[in-house]
Amino acid sequence: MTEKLGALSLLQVRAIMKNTFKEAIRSRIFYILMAFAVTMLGFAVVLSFLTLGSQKRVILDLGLAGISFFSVMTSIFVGIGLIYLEVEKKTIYNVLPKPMPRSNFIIGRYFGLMAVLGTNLLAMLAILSVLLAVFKGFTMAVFQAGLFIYMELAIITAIAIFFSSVASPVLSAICTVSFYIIGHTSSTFPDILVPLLRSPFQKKIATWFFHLLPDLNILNTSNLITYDIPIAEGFTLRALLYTGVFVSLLLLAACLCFRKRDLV
Amino acid sequence: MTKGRAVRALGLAAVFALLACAFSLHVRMRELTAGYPDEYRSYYIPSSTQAKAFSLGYHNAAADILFIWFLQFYDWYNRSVRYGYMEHTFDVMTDLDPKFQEAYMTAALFAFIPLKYDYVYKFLDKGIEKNPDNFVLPYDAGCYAFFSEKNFERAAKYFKIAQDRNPDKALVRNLYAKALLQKGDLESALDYFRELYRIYENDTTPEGNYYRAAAVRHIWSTVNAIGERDIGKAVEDYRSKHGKNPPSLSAIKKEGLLSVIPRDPAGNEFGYDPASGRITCLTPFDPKKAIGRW
Repeated sequence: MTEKLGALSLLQVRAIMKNTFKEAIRSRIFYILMAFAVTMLGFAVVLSFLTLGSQKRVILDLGLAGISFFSVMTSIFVGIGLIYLEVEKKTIYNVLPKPMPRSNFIIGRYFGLMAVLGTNLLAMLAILSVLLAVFKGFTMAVFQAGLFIYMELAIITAIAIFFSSVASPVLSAICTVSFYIIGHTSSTFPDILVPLLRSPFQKKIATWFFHLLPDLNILNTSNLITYDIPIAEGFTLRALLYTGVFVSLLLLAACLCFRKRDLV
Repeated sequence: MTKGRAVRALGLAAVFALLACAFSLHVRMRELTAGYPDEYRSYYIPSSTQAKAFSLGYHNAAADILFIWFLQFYDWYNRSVRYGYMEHTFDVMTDLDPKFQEAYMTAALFAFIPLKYDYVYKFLDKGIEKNPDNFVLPYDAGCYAFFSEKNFERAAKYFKIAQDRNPDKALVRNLYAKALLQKGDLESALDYFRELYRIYENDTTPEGNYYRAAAVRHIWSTVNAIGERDIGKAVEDYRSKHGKNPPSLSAIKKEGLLSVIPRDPAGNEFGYDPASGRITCLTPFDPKKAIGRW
């Protein structure tokens, strides 16, 4: 009986995921951001001609930064509307009356968007690889960086989905972008904030807070690739777990909020 | 023409008119600001810590962009504000990416143009410290000291670092030995030239031929320089004792000022002029004959 329920849940999640994929892939904002990302890759090549003796690294650095940034933008701007717009357009009423827990809807939406983002990321990494190959700077490590970008996207998308399940798109966008900025600046806490605090207790609290915030910078390995610095042993596995923990936490929160939400 | 079309045409005309206004205004504003001195511009680059935070983790990409700006800005030689902001820009760039070799080398090059050697070495020293495996940066610093500043003591210091980091690089070994020679440490220079000769003794590649020939020439001149120095010192000691130059080189030996009279690299005696006290090598340099005789 439990096995049957589990299989049914999986089928439901898969169906929602498939629909989300189709919906997101047809979204105009997805193509606009992808066009921006491709333009950014082209721009990296143009900029590389202005540098001195570091053409390949400019293409690699700016290419990876551009891919990561525009993928995050895609995840935010597509993600924030995923739940809220369903409610606003009342299309969710076609799904919810079916014997399906609301959490399956959230999880299906999340994995659907992650599938779109994965496809998008692979396409952009392929373009970057071609550009690097043209300039004789191709390295397989680009795909390793891609894995870490995908982990970051997993967290950002979970944040976007969480906010989308409780707030309007504008508020969700503001909150998710804020989380993105916090996630990328929290690593400077020990350098900037902690020295400003006087009491050791405050310093301890700030340090705890720093460890609790999602640290997206730690998932950014693009800087290592430029110099062929190998990723520390055991880091990838821990990074995957770290991502998994945050994604589970945010999806759980989103499911709980959405379960209690009055949609009538 | 219908009312709707008229409104659309009017709207379109208004859009074009406004664009034309914006265009002409911008052209005029550009003309007005073209004559401003450079100082009116306020360039602001945040501190390294802030720049790290603002770059949202893309430190290398931010360093690249700053480097490209740096190249364009400092490539304009007539700027009056050219050097005012250089150190800070360099610091931010290399704090964002401490392994950015081109940034260290380019900043040193820009500081070298007005011969600001203190900045040249400051920039390269940071790179040397932050990149303990990099031999190019100390080599670059050594080249500035050797070829331009003619500070051979400093050049030897940098070439030594470069050589320790990459002992297989003959170019660095050769320059290190030359720097030692120039600063007067003849024995150490000779050791390095001998080592260079041994490395390339049987190497018939163009590179091998070059370094072997260079080593042979330098060994010849260094052995001569050591001999001339030692005999010259003994002659001077003799003169201060007797008030006149020694009549021959054997007189120095008899006096006990030298236990062995040095010979030139070919094994011949040095020429000695008792009137002037001058010591010269009489054997002409012949690289083919000279190889392997010392």
